[in-house]
Amino acid sequence: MEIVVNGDPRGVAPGSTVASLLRELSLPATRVAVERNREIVRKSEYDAVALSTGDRIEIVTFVGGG
Amino acid sequence: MADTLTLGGRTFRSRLLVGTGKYPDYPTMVRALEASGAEIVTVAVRRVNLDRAKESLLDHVDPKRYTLLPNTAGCYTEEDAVRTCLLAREAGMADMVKLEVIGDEKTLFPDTPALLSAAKRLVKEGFVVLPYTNDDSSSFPTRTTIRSWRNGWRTPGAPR
Repeated sequence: MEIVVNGDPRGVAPGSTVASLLRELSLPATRVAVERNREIVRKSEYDAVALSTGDRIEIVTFVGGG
Repeated sequence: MADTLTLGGRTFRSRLLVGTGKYPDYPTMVRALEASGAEIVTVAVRRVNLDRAKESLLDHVDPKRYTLLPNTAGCYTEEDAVRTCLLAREAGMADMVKLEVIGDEKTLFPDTPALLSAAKRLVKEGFVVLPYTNDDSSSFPTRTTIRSWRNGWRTPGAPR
């Protein structure tokens, strides 16, 4: 199924969760925050939140700046 | 008496807050942070670049040694700034933030009403807010509000 991650379309397996998406992207859950359809997903829910077709996922992290 | 700086209940020996942007590379940044003696360093919150190598700022700045201060640089609206702070906290930061709501792209002067409104919301959410603002008396907030921000001023135009 297709979702949008940080603005780009991406195919993921049916049954994917936020946690499995982060694993697929090699992103450590401890260093990112995730929004699904503009709602923040709590870290404790990454395993439980199943992705649906058309979901818009934003993944942010810390970079130099400020 | 020790000359210390207390912000949001935390006490620091250094009054210097330094940024983590615009260094040519991470080793240079690490050396500059060490030489500065600063205990607080600002970090930006951005979309993960999915195409690029996975080297992270957090591989180089030890959050046990430095207090990391997420900032909302580049936010032009109250909503954007509040959202950025909430994301930073969810990504693992403490509750102290440097809040900017930019009103003018050229001078980076603040949109003070939006800054004030964002600060009120964030204080309610439990954040310690260090507002990036000026002393424009026409839009200056009340003393009560300033106390609730716990008084961490920065002057627009100062090096970032």
